[in-house]
This record gives sequence, C-alpha cells and structure tokens, in this order.
Amino acid sequence: MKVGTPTSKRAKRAGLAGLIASVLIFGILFTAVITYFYFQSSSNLSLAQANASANLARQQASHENLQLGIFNVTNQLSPAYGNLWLNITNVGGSPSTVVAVFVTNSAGQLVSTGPTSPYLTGPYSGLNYLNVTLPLAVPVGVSTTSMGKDIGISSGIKQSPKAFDYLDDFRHQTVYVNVLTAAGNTFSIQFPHPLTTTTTTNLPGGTTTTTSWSTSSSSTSQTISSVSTSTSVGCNGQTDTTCNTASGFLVGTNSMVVQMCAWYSGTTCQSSPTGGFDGGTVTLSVTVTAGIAVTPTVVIMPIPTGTVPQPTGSCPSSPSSSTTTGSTYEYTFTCTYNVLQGNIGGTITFIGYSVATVGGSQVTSAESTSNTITVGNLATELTGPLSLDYTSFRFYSTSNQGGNPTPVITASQNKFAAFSVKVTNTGNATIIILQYSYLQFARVSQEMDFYIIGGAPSYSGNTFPSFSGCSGLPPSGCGITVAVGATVTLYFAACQPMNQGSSSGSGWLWGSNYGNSNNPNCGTFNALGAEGVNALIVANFAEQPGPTKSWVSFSQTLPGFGIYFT
Amino acid sequence: MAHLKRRHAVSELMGTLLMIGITLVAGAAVIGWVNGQAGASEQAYGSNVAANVNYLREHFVIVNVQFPAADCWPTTQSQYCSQMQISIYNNGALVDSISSITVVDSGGALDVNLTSSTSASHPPGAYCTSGSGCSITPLLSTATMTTGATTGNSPLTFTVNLPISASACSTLVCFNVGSFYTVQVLGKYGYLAQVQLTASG
Repeated sequence: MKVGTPTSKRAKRAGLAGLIASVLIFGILFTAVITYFYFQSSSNLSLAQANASANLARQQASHENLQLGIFNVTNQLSPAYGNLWLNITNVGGSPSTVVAVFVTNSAGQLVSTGPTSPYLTGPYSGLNYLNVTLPLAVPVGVSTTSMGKDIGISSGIKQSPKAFDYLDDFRHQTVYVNVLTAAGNTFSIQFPHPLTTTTTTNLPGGTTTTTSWSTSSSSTSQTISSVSTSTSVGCNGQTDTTCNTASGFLVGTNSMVVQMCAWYSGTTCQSSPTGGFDGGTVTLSVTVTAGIAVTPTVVIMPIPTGTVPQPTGSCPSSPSSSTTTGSTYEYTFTCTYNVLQGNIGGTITFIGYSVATVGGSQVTSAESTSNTITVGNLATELTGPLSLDYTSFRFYSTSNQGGNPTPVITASQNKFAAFSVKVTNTGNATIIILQYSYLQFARVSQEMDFYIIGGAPSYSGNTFPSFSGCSGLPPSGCGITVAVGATVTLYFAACQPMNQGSSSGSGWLWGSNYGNSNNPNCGTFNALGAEGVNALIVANFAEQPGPTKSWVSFSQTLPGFGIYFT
Repeated sequence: MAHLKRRHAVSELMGTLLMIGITLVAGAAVIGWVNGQAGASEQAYGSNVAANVNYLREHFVIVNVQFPAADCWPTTQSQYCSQMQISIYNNGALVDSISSITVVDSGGALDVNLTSSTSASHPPGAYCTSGSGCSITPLLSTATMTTGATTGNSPLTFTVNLPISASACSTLVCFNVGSFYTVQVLGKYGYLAQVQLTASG
C-alpha cells in the first residue's frame, strides 16, 4: 500500500500539469483561429459593402435625369451685365448633386474660363463666376427655381470675372451649358435656344410634350419671356392599364399593320394579276397603318421562285403619302422592282414588315405577304398540266399478218401491240406533246418502254399509226397539239420488228425510241407473259413561256397505275 | 524504503518538468506555425480583398475631351492638332490617380500611351518613344483626384502635347481633325473609362 501511495500522487500531479498546458495551448490556438475568422469576416463585410455601394452608385447614376432651362437676363449678378441663368429640374428617379458647370462650343471645346479651371464651382475670392457655391443638391421632382437657387453664370463683357465671353462665343456661335453631377452624368442645353419656338418631345407611352416659348433677341442676348408646356397622352388618349407605356400603343391591339400589293403595267392591285407577265417593272404598294402618328420605314424581301432571278429595286426610306382618318394613321410606300423571267419563269412574291420608333422604343410590325405574280405564265406547267384518265387505258394486238386488233394478247406469239390512254390539258396554255413521251412498265425483272406513236391509229390493212416525224422543238412541226382543256388519246407501241405487211414490205417499226427512229433496244412486248405490272407515263411536252419567248420543253411523270395481262 | 521513496520523488518531479517542458516547446512550435500560416493567409486574403474593394470603390468619368483651337492649324489638305485635353471627374469613393492614358485612332494604331511612369522629359509610348516624345501635364505620377461632392472638387484636366509642327503631321502622329479616336483612361485600381470621339479643332 505504501508503494502505491506515491504512484497515486504522481498521477494526480501529471494530470493537472497536462490539463493546464492543454488549456493554455487551446486558449492560444483558439485566440489565433478566432482572430483569423474575425479578420476574414470583416474583410468579407468590407467587400460586400463596397460591392453594394458600387451597385447603388451605378443604379442611382442610371436613374438620374435633369431637365435644364437657360435664359438670359442682365441685372441679376454683380457686376450686372449679360449673364446666363440656368434652371435645373430633377425629373429623374434619384436625387442629384450638381458639382460643376462648364460651357463648351459646338466643337466640344471648353469656352468657360474659371479662375482655376474651366469647370465652375462657385464664387472665387469674392468674385461671382457663379452666384452659388457648388455642390448643389437637387431632390427628385424639385427645380432650382423653387429652391431659389437658379445658377447664374457670369458671362458679361464689361466686368471681371467672366466665366465666358458671350460676345466672343454666344453671339458668334452656339454654346452649350453643361452640368456635371456627382454621379458622373453630364447634362447639356444649347444657348441661344433654337430659333424654333416650339419643341415636341415624344415620351414613353406615346405621350407628347410640347413646349412653346417666345423670345426676344438682340445682338448680345436672348430672353425668354414666356414658356408654356402642354402634354398629350399616348394610346389615343387612353391612360388605363391597357396602354403600353413602352410603345404608346394599346395592349392587345395591332400596333402596326402592313399590307402589300404588287402589280405590273396593265394591271391593278385589285385585279389580282396572275398571268401574262413576261417580266418587267413590278410596283409594290406597302401600306402601314398605325394607331398613333409614327415615322415608319419598311423592310421588303422579294421571294422569287422557278427561274425568276432575285429582282433589283428598293423601297424609299420615307412614305410617298400619308393620310389620317380619325385615330388611324396610314402611310404608303411605293416600291419598284425589276423582275425578270429567267429561262422559264416562275413567280414573285414580296414579304416585308415595318419599323418605327415610338417614345424611344422600336416597334416592329408583324410580317406581311403580298399577292403572287406569275412570271412567264408557267406556274401550272412547272408542276405539270396533264391529267391522266387511267380508266381509259387500252391495249391492242394483232398477228404478224395484220388484221384487226384484239383485246387479248397471248404470249410467245409473233405480234405487235399498242396501248392507248387519255390525257387532258388542265393548264392555261396550249402544249405540244413531243416524241420523247413513253409508257413504261416498271417490272422487277425487266423495264419495258413503249414510245408514243402519235394520234389515233388504224389497224386495218397495211395502215398503222405513225408519229409525224419531227426534229427538235416546235415550231419545227412535230408533236401532238393539245389545246387548253382538250383531251387527247395517246398511243404507245412495242417496237418488236414485225413482218407486218406494209407498203414497202420491209418490216415495220413503230413505237421505236423517240417515236420516229429504229431502235431495237426498245421494249419487246412478246417477252411479257401473263403477269401484273406497274405502268406509268412520262410525258414530254413543249410550251411557249410567252408570246415572244422561245419554246421550252418540260417533262411530267403521270401517276402510275396497275395492269394485269392474261 | 526511504531510499526508494526519495528516488521516486526525484523521478516524479523530473518527469513532470520534462513533460511540461516538452508540452510547452511543442505548443510553442504549433502556435508559431499556426500564427505564421494565419498571418500569411491573412496577408494574402487581405491584399485580395483590398484590391477588390478598391476596384469597386474606384470610379471616374471622362467629362470632356477637347482639342484647343490654339494648338490646331490648317494645312493645304487638312487640319491637325498637337494638343488634346482630357477632363476626368472622380466620382468614386476614394482618392484616386490615373495609371495610364492611351489614344487609339480609327485604324487601331496606338497614337499615345502615357503611364504613371512617364516623365516630363522622356515619356514612353508608341509614338513617344521616338524623337523627343510627347508629354502630359500634370504628370500622372503626381496628379491625384479628390473624391466626393465637396466644395471645389471639379474635374481634373490632363493636357497631352505632341511635339509636332504642321510640317511634321504628314509623317508623324498628330491629331487629325475629323478623324475618329478612342481615349482610354485606366485608373490606379483597374477601373477603365473610355470615350470615342471625332477630333474637332
């Protein structure tokens, strides 16, 4: 037990010392860490405050707006002769503080000459360069006149000091009196005032402020004797919540509407011209309708189709006429374009919109599309004028000894065959079907083509259908003429050489390639057994794009149809 | 037992003293290291915060740039000016100075580059490096701008002079009336103000 007693005492002492040391170390470390965090927190606070102050300053600067007025009197300052007086009204959204006034000429050169700087801040050494000491705070909605602190600028010629000499400056040139604010903004006003006695200011919301004043001028001064201001409210006088304060238009209504109409010589906009135009000058009438008075411009984009090239031409920058009916304002632009047909022709359409500035905001109308003018009268032909009556499809056959055609074809027999089908010209111009037209059997194993052979054939005796020989396009004299709305029967034939009797007795080829030549590679009908095929007709035809134009060939694939041979 | 007891007493005392000493030495080392690290971190962080705060508080505007008519002269072909005056108003939240003023013409060429290290006798710069160089009054290194809407605080005007004559304008840089210029003013803490104008003499 005695041995254990000292051991117990030693343990207690060691624990106390360790505890004390730990507390000391903890305290020191705690203090250091707390100090660091406090420093960091303080720094962050400073940064946040600086950021907030900077943002606030920028925001206040953006809301600052001062309206300046300037007039000339001769007996306000001492010494009294020829001084300018500046009236400042705070029409912005934040208080303003005027820190300096300075005068420049139209070239931007400083013409004010203060005792220490061109930037005037008040009297100096008892001399009235200015009659007030800047900075001058101007609360929101308050004018310096109501504060009794209009700023007088010494500008006379017979006294010293003078902030600037209007004999040298004002009388000979226009000067600008500028006000610098603590927010860093500069506001200016011209002096002498413009010779016009009325100014109109378009404000957001369509509001118009008209300021009128009467002046009396001499060689050295200009005095405003009276100023009157009248205000008209936008949105046609409507001021409730339906008024769009940004544009001045009524909410929910068409702010601006554009209508366009195109025509060419010999036609009118109302007649909706659709054909007979081979190219030339196209007039586009653009009408802009607005609910308030605006100064519109128009942006027009011609849209040609087919082979019509992009036309040249433009719209004027200002309307050629304007009318006012009640609260409707209408502006008309007359635009001209040179439209060409190109090789074939097509159509021309115009798309456009109007732009106007209202109350400082840009307003754009919805896009509008004009009527379409056909150039070259080929709009239908570009998509195909022929209409197929597939129910009229027939086929004919006969033996190699000639004879009447029968409606039954038997495979592996030596025979000729012909097919017929009716087509109708649904276009608006006469066409000529060319020798290149053919009937095609789209078989999986073998494609078979049967070329056109001309008009109605006769199958008796030695007569047979023939396509009148031709070379090239009309009017060289070939093809089957189909008038507008007319229906013709086209015949296509196999070209298998057949010992069918003919006047020459040398064989008989018809329906050969291109309808007028011997081409042994064309389809052989006797290779066709009892089967079903898909048939289609590729019609080639020619048309004259215009009265003075050359003939142009087109191709139209008529819809396919099914045939079954027994 | 008595002998053993004395030995135990000495050992206990020595052990305690050693333990306290070691603890204090180790603690002092830890404290020193922590203080050092904290100090370095505080210094870096403080510098960064100070730079940001100063940048946020720095703001000035270029009130006016003019080409005094007295330093412009016509030639047979055009009109040139040898002097540009730039008025700057400090509307920030600290006393400020300008670090550099540069003037760039419409073609992107650097016509004037004046910095706070520019001396009156041999200022550096794109053009100023050749010949006798251009000059600025007052020197950027000495000009300070007070702040706040206080009495007498008005814009500070710097005058940039090009050492040219009418005959030299055809070959050297000068301010050509009617030409387009961009004036950039860089503040001490990084704020940049810029105006673009057409020279009018």
